Amino acid sequence: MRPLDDQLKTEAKRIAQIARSYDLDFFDTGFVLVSQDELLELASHHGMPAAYSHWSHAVQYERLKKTHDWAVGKIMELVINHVPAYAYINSTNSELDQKAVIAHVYAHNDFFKNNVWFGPTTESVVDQFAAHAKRIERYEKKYGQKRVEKFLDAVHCIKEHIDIYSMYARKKSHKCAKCAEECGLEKKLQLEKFNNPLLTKSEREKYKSRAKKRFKNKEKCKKIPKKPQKDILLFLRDHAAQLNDWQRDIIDIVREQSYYFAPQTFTKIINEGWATYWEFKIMTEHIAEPSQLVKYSKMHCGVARKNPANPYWLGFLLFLDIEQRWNKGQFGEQWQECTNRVKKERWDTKAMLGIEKIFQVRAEYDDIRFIKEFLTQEFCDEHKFFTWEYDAKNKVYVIVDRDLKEIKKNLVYRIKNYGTPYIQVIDGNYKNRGELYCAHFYDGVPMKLKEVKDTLEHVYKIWQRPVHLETVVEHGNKITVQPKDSPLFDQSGNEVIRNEVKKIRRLFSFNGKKHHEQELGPYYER
Amino acid sequence: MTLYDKIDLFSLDNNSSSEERNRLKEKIKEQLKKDKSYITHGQIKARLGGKTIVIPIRGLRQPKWRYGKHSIGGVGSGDGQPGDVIGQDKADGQQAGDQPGEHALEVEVSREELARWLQKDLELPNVQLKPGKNIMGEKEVYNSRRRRGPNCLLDKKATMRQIYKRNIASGKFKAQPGEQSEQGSVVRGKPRLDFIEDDKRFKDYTIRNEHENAAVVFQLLDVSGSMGYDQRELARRHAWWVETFLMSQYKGIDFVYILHDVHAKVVDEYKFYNIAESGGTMVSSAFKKTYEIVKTKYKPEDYNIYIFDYSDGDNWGDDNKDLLAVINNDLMPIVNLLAYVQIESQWGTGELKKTLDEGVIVRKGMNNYSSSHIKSIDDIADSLKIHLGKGR
Repeated sequence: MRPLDDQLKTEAKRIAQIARSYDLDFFDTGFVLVSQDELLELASHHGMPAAYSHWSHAVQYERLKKTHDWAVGKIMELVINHVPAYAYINSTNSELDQKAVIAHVYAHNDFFKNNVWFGPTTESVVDQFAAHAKRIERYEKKYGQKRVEKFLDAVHCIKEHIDIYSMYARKKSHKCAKCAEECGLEKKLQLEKFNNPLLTKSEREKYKSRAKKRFKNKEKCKKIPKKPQKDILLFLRDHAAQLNDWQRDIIDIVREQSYYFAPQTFTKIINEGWATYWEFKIMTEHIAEPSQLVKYSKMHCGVARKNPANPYWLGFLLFLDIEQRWNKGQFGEQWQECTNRVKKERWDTKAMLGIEKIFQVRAEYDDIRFIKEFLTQEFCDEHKFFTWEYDAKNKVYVIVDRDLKEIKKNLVYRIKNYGTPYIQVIDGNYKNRGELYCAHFYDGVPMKLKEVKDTLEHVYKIWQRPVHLETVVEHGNKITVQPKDSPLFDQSGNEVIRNEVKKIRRLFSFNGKKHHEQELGPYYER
Repeated sequence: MTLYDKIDLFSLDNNSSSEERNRLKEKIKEQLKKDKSYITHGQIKARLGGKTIVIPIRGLRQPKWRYGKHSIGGVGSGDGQPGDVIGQDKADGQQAGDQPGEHALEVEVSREELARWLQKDLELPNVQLKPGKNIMGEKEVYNSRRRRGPNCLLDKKATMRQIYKRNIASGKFKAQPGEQSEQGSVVRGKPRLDFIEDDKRFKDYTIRNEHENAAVVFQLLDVSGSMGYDQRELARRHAWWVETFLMSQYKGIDFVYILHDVHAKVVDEYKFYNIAESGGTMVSSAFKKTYEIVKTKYKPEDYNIYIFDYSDGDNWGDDNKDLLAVINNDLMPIVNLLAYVQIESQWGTGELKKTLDEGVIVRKGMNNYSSSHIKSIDDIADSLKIHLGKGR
């Protein structure tokens, strides 16, 4: 672990100057050269040098080490969203790679600084993570390593289940809402003498005390949570009855870290695309010598391999596409309504708004909107996009569709909600027995059933009362694509059933000792 | 730039990550112990040589509420019509590799530890040591100290004593009885001691001659043509576990490896675990060879003698008489255990087990013959229990 040597330092300064001349706007960046092994270690801790210790990091490390040993993939750099920005660079990179990585890092930092979704993340995140580690270390000393680890295991299982967008919403205070209701009651009681003027004073007092009692009881019986709550970790922290303070603190730590990483998960494509775009531009136009261009292009192609699932490639090409379209004025109502293909292809109003547009996109968009808005039919046609699915009957992967809508939907599945099923807490006092009832908001993709049960066991460890999860299971094999010439109707005129799949709502429960399953009836599309 | 001054904050805490890795190892071991798969896991060839072995295990990842592997599908690019097959599911069984990220983790376990697990899981008793059967051997005894050494041998108590000694002698530190609490423990933070590198004391060993209980294990493997690769592999795995267990029981232990078809020959460990040969079968040749070696090298008065024979149960018909003669007359009176492990094969008749079971004469009070029959890798545990389960 060492700072850059002098030659690279001057090179970094030069690249920063070039980047600034393109109006990229970033904080000062400290580069640290690290060995391959150190880099893997950092990567296994999500890039945080002072993260708390947990064995799952070691699993991650082993996995990364294997991909490196087999030369399947290589991590070239890690950037921490921090002020000032920090970047770890793999010291085994070649000199040319090193320059490209530096340009890449500057573009990332520009994104971190300017993208609206990174607004609420804390700037001194390294210190925060270090503090978390210290706290957990203290708990380990006080309550025993095994005990803390067991609890962390349980919390880790549901760490993705936070309410990502609550970060950007104005915070509502629960206390105020309660106050308002109480104020309402007070006012109502004050008006009592006008409503029932004939009551004596003592009768009125009696009535008032009764009304207050009723109000309190009502408050007690109120459903927890009032509305379905997406942030399961928060709900468990606030409402799990049997937890100690240190356990609540651990939930808080995991939750805070999940919130920190959330924007990075749903800006992956746009962020990597942005960085690759500028890296490519700066390298090819300024840094790489003509003799190095082929070598650089080779490295670039290695990173941005053509594959719609590769965020580097998809993001990079989408940015190029946007720039080109806005340069030629291929946007707006007129262009949308034009149906003449030839005319559309030759469309050029010389608007030259490309650069302006991509800077706007960088500042305002996240992956979902980026794909929904800028992935066009033309783009998909040009790169021959299709969606594929697994055909369970024949055990093969087949092409399903080339429809733009389907492609977008499929890409978005992997981004939204951390790429996990959307699960909410419906009731924290199910059957009035303090049981936890969660429900999966089914959107066409079933969950992995084995892990549903395993995870329930872990949630039980936190809630310490029976836990339930409602989801939708599919029975039967899905026939994804019917052969083209298969008839729509059979000989007697009935429609051929295309999907054999039956969808049934099912409740999974775990009561601390036994698993239990219960059918809740068929599922109907909303 | 002042940025670089802060690098320290960003440096790795190496202790914590090595701690994590240790914890993971423990976790894997726990998992291995729990599902008892360590007996059947891994390749036996890879296990040779070192004192520790590497066992790969699957799984050990934290469960999550997630989508199934096949339920989402994905987006690709290229030519093709809807309905075209673009790939096949390579994993035939549903068990293996459920997610792309899943991979085998490996853990190193020492042979002694494995022996302990085996003993516990199969409820194997310790071997009843026979009096008198021992040889002189060298033993390392950690009973002295020195000033230099590796940190793992640091003697904390002696080091602490040295620190006190030096501090008191130099007058910097006075033991103050007034500052001690009633239980005698020193009040925290009060006596300040200083520590220099020279205070460190490390454990050191001296070599002592001791009587060791000695044993010799003869591993006889049938390498005739009817023993296929799978059968040999089973035999070797069995042999490896026998060795592992007996190694934990005897301090001075020797292994003799004999391969036999029509002739028997003594080979080294590597060859025993790697050889592929073929020919007819004369089991008696191996037992005769064993007796020869016992006569010349291992006195029955000094050594506990174990014989394990692995065969598919095919023997040259006329050989049976010779075989029983050498076993009954020469070997049975002197061995601790004569174990016959029959491995089922496609071609073997399996007659030998019957012949031996009927023909071997066990002397009174010796109880030193046992036989087992294994079909697959799962039978190894039972077989081990038959042979080693009586403390012979």
